Amino acid sequence: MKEAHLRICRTLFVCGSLLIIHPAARSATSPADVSQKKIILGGPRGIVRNTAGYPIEGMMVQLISQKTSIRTTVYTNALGQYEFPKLETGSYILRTPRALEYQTYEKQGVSIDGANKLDDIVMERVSENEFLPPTPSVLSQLSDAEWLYNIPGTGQEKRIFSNYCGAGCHTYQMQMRSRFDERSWRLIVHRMLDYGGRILVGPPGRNPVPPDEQQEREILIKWLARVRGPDAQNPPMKVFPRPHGAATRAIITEYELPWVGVHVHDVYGDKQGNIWFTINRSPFIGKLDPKTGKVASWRTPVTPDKHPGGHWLQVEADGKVWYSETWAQNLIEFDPKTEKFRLMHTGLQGNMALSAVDGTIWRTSDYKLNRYDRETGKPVESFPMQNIRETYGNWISWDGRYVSGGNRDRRFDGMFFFDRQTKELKEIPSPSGSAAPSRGSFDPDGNSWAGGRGGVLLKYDRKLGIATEYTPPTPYQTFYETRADKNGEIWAGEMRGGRIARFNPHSEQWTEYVLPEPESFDWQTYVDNSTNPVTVWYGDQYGYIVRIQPLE
Amino acid sequence: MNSWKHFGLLLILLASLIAVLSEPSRHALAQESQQDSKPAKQEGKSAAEKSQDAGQIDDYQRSAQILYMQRMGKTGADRGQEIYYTKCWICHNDYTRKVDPKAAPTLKGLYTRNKLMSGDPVNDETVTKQIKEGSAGMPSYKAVLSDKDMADLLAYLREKCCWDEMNPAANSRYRGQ
Repeated sequence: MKEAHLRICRTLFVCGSLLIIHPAARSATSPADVSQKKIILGGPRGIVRNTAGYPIEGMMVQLISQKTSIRTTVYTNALGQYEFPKLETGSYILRTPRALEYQTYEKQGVSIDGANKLDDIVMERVSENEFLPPTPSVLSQLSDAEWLYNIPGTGQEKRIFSNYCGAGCHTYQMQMRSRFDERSWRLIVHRMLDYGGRILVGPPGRNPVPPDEQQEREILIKWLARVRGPDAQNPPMKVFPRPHGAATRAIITEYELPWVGVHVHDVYGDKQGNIWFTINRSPFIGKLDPKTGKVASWRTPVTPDKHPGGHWLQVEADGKVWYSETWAQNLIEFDPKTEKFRLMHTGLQGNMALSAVDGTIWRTSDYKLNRYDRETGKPVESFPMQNIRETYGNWISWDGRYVSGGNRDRRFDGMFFFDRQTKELKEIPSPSGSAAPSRGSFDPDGNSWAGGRGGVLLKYDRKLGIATEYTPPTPYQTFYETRADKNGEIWAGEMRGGRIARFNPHSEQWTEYVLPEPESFDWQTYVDNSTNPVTVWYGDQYGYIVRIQPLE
Repeated sequence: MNSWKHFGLLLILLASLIAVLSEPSRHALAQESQQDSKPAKQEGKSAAEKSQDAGQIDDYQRSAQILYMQRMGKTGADRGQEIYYTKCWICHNDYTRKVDPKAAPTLKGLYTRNKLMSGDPVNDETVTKQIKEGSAGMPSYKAVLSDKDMADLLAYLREKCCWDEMNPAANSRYRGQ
């Protein structure tokens, strides 16, 4: 019976292949056509197929260096073929991360020396049908979006959950692996929403909560108590499709850090190719050498009674590192040559805009856009705003002329846009009113882009004077920030999807690079525009640094 | 005109057959698989199997290590540290207490105290009860933490507590030294 089934499949496959070259079908680019674009990487290579012998497209194949712990991941193409870049000779662990519907393959002590042809990887499904049993292994590989897709609930319940619990502090695994009664969920929601400072070390906030928000909270608490109550069971899981075509043409590299349980916030490259980063909940900044995986770190000055941890970070052309502290609310300049820190207390947490052209520093506060003195950290110039009290992110254009920021207050959901030449400041509402723009960047044409926690990329078109929202293909996303590259393409972590999004505004095409981990807690993307194609970096909330090298 | 069309189509069919039968292709791989089809478990070791055998989850899938709170250790006080950091620290930390006197107490030195806030003496039984049942200001963790989770957490509370944000735990996987 199985043999007959295979024969039918093969016949259908041949017929399908013939159709591909039929003139009527030629106009559309098929995955098979695209997959045969030959990009030679020159490293170890092999094939992944299922137990029936058919190739698996979009499977991630990973080699972990036993010398450096650096993890290099590539994807199989439509023929099931994969090829790594050239890797250092040595012993590696070969595995298939996030295999989901297949049992994970793992092989220790794989010797790599040049362009080895590795043994075929033959993968066995974990289930005969498309719905996966909710085993510990399957559950641990689900992205937040897949969790939300699979558990019961109305669109309203899930959207409220995303709005309130998707700000970016942790993955939904925190809620999904929990089982609480309604009383306990009420306490947790109160704690999470009413205390300040991201890790809730600040004082309790607003009291009372506005009635419309209170109503939504009730919906949230009751839904959590229903779907994650003490007796709630996990349903069989339907997972999202594997990547194919262009989304399989990239190399992902992950770097370990010296600590566990730390949270990387921002990353930024220097001229030597090192990646600097802030640690969000411990008193360190660090510098990663991507060639070796070695990390140099510096302990930042501690402010008494304030939780340590950095946030925004940027490296200037002279190599000096500027960063902010979340809870101590300092702006700090660090000189790597002298290893000296210079602290300026701004009384503000979060994200500054630092001009690469003239070094000016900008941030919004108390219904004003302020320019801050580089020596004192005090405001020296202010421009009033009508609707926006302060923005979460602030960014400045490549030519230093425009400043912008995202505001996610439900009373005014949108961006500001400031022209330093004309001194005109616009406050632009988002089309949906629920984009929740957070951090962002300018593209080379001076258009402002923000990652929206409401699950969209928000663009303010400088010339047309309009705001537009772009929604990614994978549902239930939230964004935290976004970064434009030299070609005007937009990069951002799809925080709930374990994907890095690449959006081309000209063609309005999305490419989603699926990552080896189901989370992509990207708080700031850094794009290295010196390479071709560009190289993209982010530091994950869960304590490692990721490089994405698209092959085209 | 029609005959040219048919001839063209025939050529296309022939070319496609050659393309399909030439290596590498899905068809060829499928044929090859008939002779040489081995499940992943026979070539390497599947993480699912490993987890079944050893009661563990994938060592290299970070999300699994995070979900099952195993990054800082597989068992005992080391694993308890991660449970504490994930489940307890967010309320029981020094900083919140400084800005809100009604906030949850620190758990440093818990086992050296005479009494819990409930008035009960401090021992494994009463601490377990507090965690599992909760109280007016604390959620009930009885459906969240397994017996093993509880044992690891208690070991940490007894022996090592509490999380030191100034000196985070070393990552044994880091090889950059």
